[in-house]
Amino acid sequence: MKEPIERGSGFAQAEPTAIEQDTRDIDDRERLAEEARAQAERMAKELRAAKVPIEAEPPTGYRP
Amino acid sequence: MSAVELATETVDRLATAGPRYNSIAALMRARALREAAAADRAIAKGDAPSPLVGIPYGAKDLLAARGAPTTWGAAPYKDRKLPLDATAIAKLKRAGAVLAAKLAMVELAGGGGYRYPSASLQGPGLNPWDTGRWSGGSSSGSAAAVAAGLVPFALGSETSGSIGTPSAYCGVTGLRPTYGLVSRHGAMALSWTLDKIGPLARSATDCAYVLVAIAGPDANDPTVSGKRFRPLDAGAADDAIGRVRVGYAGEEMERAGDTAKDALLRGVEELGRIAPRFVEARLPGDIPYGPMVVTVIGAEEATIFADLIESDQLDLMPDEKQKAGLRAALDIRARDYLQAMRLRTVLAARMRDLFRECDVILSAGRTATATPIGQALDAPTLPPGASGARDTAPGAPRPGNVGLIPAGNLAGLPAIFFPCGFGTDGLPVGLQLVGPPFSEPLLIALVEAYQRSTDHHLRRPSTVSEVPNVSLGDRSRSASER
Repeated sequence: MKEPIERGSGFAQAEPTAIEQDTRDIDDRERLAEEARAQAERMAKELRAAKVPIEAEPPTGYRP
Repeated sequence: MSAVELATETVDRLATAGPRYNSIAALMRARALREAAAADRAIAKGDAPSPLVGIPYGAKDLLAARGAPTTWGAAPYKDRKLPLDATAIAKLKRAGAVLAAKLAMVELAGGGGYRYPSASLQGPGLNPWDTGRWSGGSSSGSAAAVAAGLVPFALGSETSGSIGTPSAYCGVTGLRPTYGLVSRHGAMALSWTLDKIGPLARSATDCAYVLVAIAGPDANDPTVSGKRFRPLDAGAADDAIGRVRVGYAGEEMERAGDTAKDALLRGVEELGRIAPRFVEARLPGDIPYGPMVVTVIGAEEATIFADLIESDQLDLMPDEKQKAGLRAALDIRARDYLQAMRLRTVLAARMRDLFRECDVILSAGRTATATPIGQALDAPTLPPGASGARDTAPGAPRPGNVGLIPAGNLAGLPAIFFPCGFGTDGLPVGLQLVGPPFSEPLLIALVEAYQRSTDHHLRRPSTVSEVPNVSLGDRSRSASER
């Protein structure tokens, strides 16, 4: 349980790329949908990069 | 004054002043008068079941209550009536308290992640200290109604920050109980594994009175621990405060917004005079709190609200970012949700380790004062910690204990939020104390001691000076008398 959890290793080594300014309104539906999906992907990457001991189980409320 | 007279005056005041803050979801005059009459009969018979008998209160509109719609702050549910009382409301009824109003909230308790304070059926929650500022979310109406003196206490809920943020912004005392101490039955579920019901009140003592009534077993909620809450008596509280080790890092205070920083640091100093044993303590820096809390809430809320999200009814909600967040949450993968949940197991173990070094953790309630009402909550100009209901910036540095709100919620830990002064803009500033599971008696004792030696919690906005400065009483004195 006390193993250090590493996260994000490698992401910072990617080549920088030019970021195009999004000119759409910040509340534009398509823009928001793209941003929400991109955020979910970023979070998923960060979660997957965290090392979890193989014996760690999710907490469960299920009791038969 | 009889309970009926008090209820009448309270409902009248809510009707007149509540709309100034967009804090009312529904007035409950008929129910309040019935419950108040029952309280008067109990008092007349010498049969008062608790110190709350005859005391009026409001409940966040996420809790079901007979006699009014239960809208969850969201237009798709604006006419929906649920034929039950949430367990917390039923327990308060048994204690003799008088439900006077349902109080406004951010729609669906902020599920999906909202951008604007206007994401509420009643409009943006307005802060009694300055109606040009937000009252915080998602328990917006609960905090505003208490701060404005419209009710002595209110029920709110927290999934991640929804008691803490409005308590800090409105200058009231809020208690987030340990997960499982208070039944969630009859409350809207945003996240089955994170939701907690708790009180917002004038003082820690008042929170204790309410928590005694609402904590404890409930056959309708299998996640309830069955434990009850009993506050420490005066002697035990003094002993505990004399020994308590306060974990503190301080870097998060240095990063606080300029308006709040000095008041926060003065509050830390004041607490240090009461509990002088400060030890250095920091949250684990290698756990991705933001992605964890967003993924857990996202996966659970998307499952709970799938029918709504996939229907045209979702368009009745005004906040485009929130709707986009809800739709995207439908696609969270099981492996990511379960990874976040496994990390909660790791976090719980790491927090147990941390609580071997200290007994409570002290940090800012929020690191900035209430945001301007028209400002986007994710605006990049905001100081750290000034975002909406969640501290979730992915990959952001987390010095000190800046991640305490998501970390404390993910680990199911109790917290108490209490005012510690005013920022340079005249708005309330508050601290939070977090302890191990079921440490509410210690947290309350500490803040009671702090509030006996300071008067920040007694200050009222000048606009509500006509409201009597009444609290439920001095528990430490009555406890020693018992």
